[in-house]
Amino acid sequence: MFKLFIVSAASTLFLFAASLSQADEPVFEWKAGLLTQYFHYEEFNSQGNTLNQEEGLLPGLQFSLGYSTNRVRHQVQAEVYHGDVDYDGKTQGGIPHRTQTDTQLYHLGYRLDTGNTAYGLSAYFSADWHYWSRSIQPVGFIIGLDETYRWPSISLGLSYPLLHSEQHSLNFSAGYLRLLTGRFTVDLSELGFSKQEINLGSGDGEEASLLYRFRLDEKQSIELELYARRWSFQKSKPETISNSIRSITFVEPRSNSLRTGFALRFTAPF
Amino acid sequence: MKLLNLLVLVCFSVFITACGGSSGGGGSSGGGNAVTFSGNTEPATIDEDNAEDIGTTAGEAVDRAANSSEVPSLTGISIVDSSQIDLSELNQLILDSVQLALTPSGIDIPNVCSSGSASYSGPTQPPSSGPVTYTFTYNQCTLINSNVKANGTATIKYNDFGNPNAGYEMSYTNFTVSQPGIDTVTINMTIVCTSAGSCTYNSDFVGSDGSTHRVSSFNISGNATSGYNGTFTFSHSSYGSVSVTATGITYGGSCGATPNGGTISFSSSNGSSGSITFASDCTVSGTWNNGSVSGSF
Repeated sequence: MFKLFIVSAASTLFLFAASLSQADEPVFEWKAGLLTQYFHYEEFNSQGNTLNQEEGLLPGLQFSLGYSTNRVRHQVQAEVYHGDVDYDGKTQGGIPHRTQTDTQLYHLGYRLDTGNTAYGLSAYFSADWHYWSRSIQPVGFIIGLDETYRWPSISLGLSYPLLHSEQHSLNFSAGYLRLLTGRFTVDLSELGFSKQEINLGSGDGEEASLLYRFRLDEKQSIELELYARRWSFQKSKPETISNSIRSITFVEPRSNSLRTGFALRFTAPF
Repeated sequence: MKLLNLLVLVCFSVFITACGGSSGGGGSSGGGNAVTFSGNTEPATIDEDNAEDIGTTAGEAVDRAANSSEVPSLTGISIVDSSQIDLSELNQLILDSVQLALTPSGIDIPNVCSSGSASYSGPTQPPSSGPVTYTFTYNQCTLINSNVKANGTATIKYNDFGNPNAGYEMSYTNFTVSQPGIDTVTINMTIVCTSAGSCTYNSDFVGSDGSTHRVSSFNISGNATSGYNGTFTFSHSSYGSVSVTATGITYGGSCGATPNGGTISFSSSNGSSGSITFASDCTVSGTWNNGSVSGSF
């Protein structure tokens, strides 16, 4: 898979270099959008059984700045989501447990889109940073658990215009995600230990989106986007922690994530 | 071109569909049968009619209280290599394992026991409030980071599962613990916690008089040969509660559960008091004072 990634990266750079020779008058634009994301997350024990899953809808906001010519486009963007999702799982003792998880997602990203090449295809590359605050709420004697995940990722993919006219355009993109080494923090103070931070390891995933753009006038547009991303993190290495009295060993379980969403954006030049 | 567009849309739909849903679905032995105290917990009125009974059963109770080297607290103390198993430390280990068992699976702590196993039973879905009882069964479970091997059943009754400050009661029934070099100890006792940091440890036992009595708030040191020293609260099933100070209490010979040496003094919050001295020939002698009149036996 990683070889495929290297080949894709080389292809993207080639397309980018080709696009530079044909650059024309640049356009600067900003985008602001409302987001709704269906959040699904599932963790598994070493036997492959589900430990817990979380799902729910999260509202979000997005803002981005772009610079483009007719052959290349650079974009930096920030996203934030916040809300409660349903936690359905077990305790360490196997006792069924349902509660809510306060979820905050932050995402900063840079994306480079190259111009159209053969068959209308274009390539994109993005580098992103993700932060996820996961606060599993306590229910009576079942304690809560506060965790944070943060990881960088890069993705490579292709875009294809399904529809393109003066006022409408519809674009499909699909790509490969490479999650680089992340960090995981869990607050175990209620168990007599302090906050612990371990390596999250790396992971792989895929993403796809369908972007519709409606041109309001010569400068302003409305965008509707459907997107889906999924990835997996492997189980972390066992971590043994001690206080002055005793020690425990824990792992961050193997997990699957799926995030699908809908974005409504307004675009204008500046 | 249209065919290609259709193909792309189908691929996107398949991607979304494929993503959906779940993918995976020493010391002395307290032995004996479990008993529960339901007797008199009011301050005892010590007088000539009951002083000897209270003193004698309190003497038997020292044996019960002696398993703990200090008043239990919920601050952690590591198990030490002594001639006894410290019940407060054991309780802490058990409570730690219960706490682990009630931790959400946002992380995976594979083992509560470093060897052996532990299992839990209770409601399949805990209620958001109200009383709940969980039973924790330890099967030759070596508790994490200790060499204490636990075997038996601990039951925890939460007064209100939705309110951690509502307190809980933890009972050991024929619960055995062992450490290398120390005899296996059988525990039948109850811990009553009004909140996470405020607990009373009770040990109920059947005395030689056939009645069930209770020992609580114990702080005893020493051993059965050189003598136990310390304090505890003793509740006689019929006469009520007294505060006890034990000095040099020894066991052995033909006296059975009754001490064969040492002295116990006991007092009630209503002002009455008494004392008893145990002799090696298994006889006893003592004094009493009901607050206005005193005597001896």
